[in-house]
Amino acid sequence: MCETCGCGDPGSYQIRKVGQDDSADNAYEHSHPHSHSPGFSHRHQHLHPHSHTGEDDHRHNPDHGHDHDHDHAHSHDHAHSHNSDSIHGHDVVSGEPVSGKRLINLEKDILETNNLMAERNRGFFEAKKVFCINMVSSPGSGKTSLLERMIIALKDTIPIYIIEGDQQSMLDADRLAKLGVPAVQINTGSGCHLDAIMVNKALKSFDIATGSLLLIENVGNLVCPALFDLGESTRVLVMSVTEGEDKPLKYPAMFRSARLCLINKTDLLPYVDFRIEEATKSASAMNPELEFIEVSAKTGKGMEKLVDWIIGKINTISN
Amino acid sequence: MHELTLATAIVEMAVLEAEKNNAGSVKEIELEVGKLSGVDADALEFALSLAVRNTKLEYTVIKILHTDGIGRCNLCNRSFIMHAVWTPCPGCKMPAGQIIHGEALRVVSLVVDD
Repeated sequence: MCETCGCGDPGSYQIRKVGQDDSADNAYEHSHPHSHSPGFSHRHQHLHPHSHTGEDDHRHNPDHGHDHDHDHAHSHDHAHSHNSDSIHGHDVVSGEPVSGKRLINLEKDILETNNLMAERNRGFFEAKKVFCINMVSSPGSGKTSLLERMIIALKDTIPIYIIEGDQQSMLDADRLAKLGVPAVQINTGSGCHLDAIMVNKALKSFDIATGSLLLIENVGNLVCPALFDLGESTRVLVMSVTEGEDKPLKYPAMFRSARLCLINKTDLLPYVDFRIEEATKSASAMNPELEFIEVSAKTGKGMEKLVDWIIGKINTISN
Repeated sequence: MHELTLATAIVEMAVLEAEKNNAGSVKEIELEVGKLSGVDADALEFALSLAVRNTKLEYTVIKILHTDGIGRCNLCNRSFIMHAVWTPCPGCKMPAGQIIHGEALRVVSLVVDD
């Protein structure tokens, strides 16, 4: 267990489409990057939490049929057995003792894997003329409620697809799917952000139409998602008036990475000490290109402006 | 906390490179973590100490270059050194620096032993 943040397996996540049969063995897309200790045989421990929309919880047998991606690099100083369906490709290191140090210049971006996949996603969106919005914010700022409004306003104009990100539960994806749009839920488990690889996998649940709108609701977190390009067409940050006007100063990276800031819950302005001018001033100082729209998911205020903004962006890419 | 994700990525990258070069062990790894990269260096070091276990990097010396950032103030256009993304412009005192340099997050090099 990680002693910094208490997380377990840093790489395992699940992807589920709303309406998919949960009881099938291969209903889950799993990811398990892990390292081996000496003598450990190649079996999987499924320590990830997941909820079922069906009747009963079930426990996993250690040797059940799953398709796994086995793209992990590991050294072979220990003996271990493989499942017959896992395929490794690598050279055996020769055991000749030679003393000689070599410098290998790498100069590789640590986020290269993510960024390459993000560009692949981006290319796909461009080819299919899909406008993809990555919505980010703290937990509870109103992303899902705003998405409900956006879906209602736009679903008769343009095909809409949803990718939902949360640590656990299908609640948000289910909620949005009720509005009649295809929705996929990514449960990150202990993970704190969506990344391009997860989005790429989730996209395969859809046969996404040309000229459609893809709305990704990122995990509620103003810190980590800033670092992870998903390949989106634009990033929209939701900040609610209950979060304090100094929010931009405290989370500069996220404010810098966004294109549009939705100031939500404006219906509560009479009850909070939030000055919109101060909030927009500090955010604009850090990101002069940031645009602002004041909205209220509760009353619907500002939704027309938001819809116009989205349609405007879509028209730009389809030309 | 994404430092563990990054540490895992670093280890995988280094191990792959070492295997590509038929190296026996990785003696040293040099990383660049820009002060404006959004990564907490201490958390990354700790995460690395976990991520290297039972890999070719278990005994590798890890060197981290903490490069300063350079920003240009969006308000008064002054260039200044940024130690953090919130470093205020020395002129107008606002944290309005547009980042020119300092966001790098890289594996710079490896020293391997045959």
